[in-house]
Amino acid sequence: MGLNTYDFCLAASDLLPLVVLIICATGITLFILVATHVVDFLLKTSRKGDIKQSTYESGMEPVGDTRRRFNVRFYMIAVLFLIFDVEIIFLYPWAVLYPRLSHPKGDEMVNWARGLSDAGYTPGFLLAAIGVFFALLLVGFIYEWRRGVFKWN
Amino acid sequence: MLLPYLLVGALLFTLGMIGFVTRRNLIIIFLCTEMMFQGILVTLVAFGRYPLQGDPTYDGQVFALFLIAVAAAEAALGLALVVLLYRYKGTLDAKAWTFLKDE
Amino acid sequence: MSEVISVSALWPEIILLIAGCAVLLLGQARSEAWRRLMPWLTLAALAAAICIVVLKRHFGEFAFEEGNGLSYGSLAVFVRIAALGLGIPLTLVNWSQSREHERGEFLSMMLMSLAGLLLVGPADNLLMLFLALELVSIPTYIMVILSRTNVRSLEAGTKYFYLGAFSAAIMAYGFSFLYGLSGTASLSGTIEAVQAALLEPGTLEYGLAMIGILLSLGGLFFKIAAVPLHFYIADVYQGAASPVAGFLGFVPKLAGMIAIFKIVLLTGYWDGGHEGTFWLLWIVAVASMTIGNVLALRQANIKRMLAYSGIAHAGYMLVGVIAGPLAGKAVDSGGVGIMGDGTAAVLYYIMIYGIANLGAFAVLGLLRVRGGACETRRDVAGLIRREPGLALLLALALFTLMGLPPTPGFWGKLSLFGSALAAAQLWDDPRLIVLVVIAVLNSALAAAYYLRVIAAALVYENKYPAEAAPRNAEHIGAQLCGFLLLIFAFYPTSLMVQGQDGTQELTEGIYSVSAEPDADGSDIPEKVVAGGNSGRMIPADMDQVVSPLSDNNVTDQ
Repeated sequence: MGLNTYDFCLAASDLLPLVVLIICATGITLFILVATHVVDFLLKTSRKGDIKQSTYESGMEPVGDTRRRFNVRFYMIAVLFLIFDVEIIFLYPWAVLYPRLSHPKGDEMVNWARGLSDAGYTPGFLLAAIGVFFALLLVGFIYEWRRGVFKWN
Repeated sequence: MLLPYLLVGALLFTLGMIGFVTRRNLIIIFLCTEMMFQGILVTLVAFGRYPLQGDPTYDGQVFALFLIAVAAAEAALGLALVVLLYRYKGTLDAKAWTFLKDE
Repeated sequence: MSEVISVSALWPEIILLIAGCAVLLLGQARSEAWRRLMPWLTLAALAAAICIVVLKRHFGEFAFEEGNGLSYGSLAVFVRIAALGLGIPLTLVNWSQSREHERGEFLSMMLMSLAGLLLVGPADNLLMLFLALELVSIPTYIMVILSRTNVRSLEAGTKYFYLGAFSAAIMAYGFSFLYGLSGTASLSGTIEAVQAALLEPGTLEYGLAMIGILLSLGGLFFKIAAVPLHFYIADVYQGAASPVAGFLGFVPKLAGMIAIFKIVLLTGYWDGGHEGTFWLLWIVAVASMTIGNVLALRQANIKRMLAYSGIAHAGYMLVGVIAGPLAGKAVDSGGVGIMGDGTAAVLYYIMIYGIANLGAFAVLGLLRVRGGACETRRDVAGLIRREPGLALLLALALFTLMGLPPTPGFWGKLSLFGSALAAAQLWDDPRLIVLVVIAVLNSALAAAYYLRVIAAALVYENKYPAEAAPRNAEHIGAQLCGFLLLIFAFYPTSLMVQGQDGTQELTEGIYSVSAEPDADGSDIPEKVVAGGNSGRMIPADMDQVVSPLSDNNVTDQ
């Protein structure tokens, strides 16, 4: 377990389940597609009219086309989400490393982490580092809040 | 094993570069720079796994993580900019912006 | 070997970062009084940071601190003093920049950009260098956009941002090859692998090293606005507010030039002369000087003229990079001492250029013509009648950029071209003399367009001359630039010696690598492997770090 046994290389046999999955999925889709048409052809009754021809026969009336303009606030939310979402990539390595630093004894991964701890990256240091990271995120958050980005109106 | 990864990286980078020069829609141009960054990420991770000398190191992966963060910062700035530009002009055609030029 | 750098080594950067965050939040404060504090806080942070740097240096506490991809040597000290020192006039001329409710963002971005510049100096790791350069660049895009309310600043910011992202990608791609070549991101670990690779043409390593160097320098030429990526600069300077254009003329240029030093050091060009690097720099220098000056000649708009002349100045600076530090340092091997040090001359020149450029743009930023911005030659005509102080300041700044003898610009050009001649003598290389001849001809050409503006400001008559806006801080900032130019006109050596001290580190790097015999090509790979462990910080540790990874994974399929 751990990072050290993770193998980057893929053999051809590793891809076999994926190939089987793709073939099955394609097969089932094709089957359903053909089957519905066949069943439809066998059972259909011919009836025509305005309502019958509309896009959603018993749904809502279609209004305008799909390429309508979105409210610009969606973009603001998207931008904020982008920033805060990407910050998570720094938390993953931290979360993997941090518990191993003070682990008593164990596999090579833990020993490696303890080597880091001896080189100066002590648990306290890493905690302080992530604290600074969150403090900076907090500054950004407070700024956005005061700027009124989260207000919808 | 290294060379295929480098080729994929170079391909992504070059496609992004060509797109950056030839496209006119500002969002597409920006996506092209993102594609260049993806090419760099592939190259970095490949070099980290199959170094030309010495043992594999984590440097490449760490570099890649920070590059993703920088690319995200640029993406946020780019998106905000695109919204502003659209508000002014109602178009994202790069050719529509020619206030500044030599007399 | 200390892995983690101590917090005490980073106080100037930390102060700028905290102040940047504080200013950002202050900008959103409800009360007017709090918001008025923002520029004062910016100034106080810069003053506190420069006090710390100077005191530490004065009391000899500046031990060689390193760790976490930073290594504080002489170059870092120079960059710190230069950036923080010039940060004060930069803050003053940008005192009331941008709209009132966006001033917090603007000043915060300025502090962040300066903090990035402080980190470029000590960066000893490709990743750290890239992050520091991006920390310099990304805030400048925002500054350009915020600096004015009209659509032009938006267009300028967009162009700057898109080309900046493009050049950052090119630079990062180059860095990825330099990293791949050595297997470590640390610069001191990369240097031997790159130099060994460059000695063996025809191999895969040689190709990767050349691509890496070419792309890295290509991306960095954007930062200093040298030729292949120069075309954005006129639009950006014209679209941005004048004081912001002054900022762009110094901070990204210094950051880019320091990074170019670091990359050129990797190639070993200054040590033994590497043909590929030489021709790359030579062609870019000649093209930048010539194209910049020719384009500047046609401009009636002073901001565009200064922008294009900035390309030419980037070309002059590259002359110093081509000359290298060796002729200045190695007096026993035919060098000529302080005037022969090309890199010191570059540092001197970049400071002088930054101050003069800022002074000229500060004057332009202060002037109003019928309520609008002052941009063209016609706008400054007859300035001496209405605003004699500002007119003389503009003339002093432009004379400095032109390189007229008593001004510091002349000493800068003299030391740059002198160092190239000294290097030509040392290496017996006539191509350097050709370079100097082209540079001198270009300087003469440049006089034409500077003199036209000076003549307009000092000699011409104008019925409705421009008048100065009543802004105290900006006036003080502009006067400070003029004062600094006068000081360095009469005491050029004070700054030149600082530059000489700053480049100490580069020469030491040269000698430590060249001490090893490299006549026998077959020995080099062994040397590199052995030397990988003696690198400054990351390499030796990485052996521990990667051992678990490599043990289980050598099964190649």
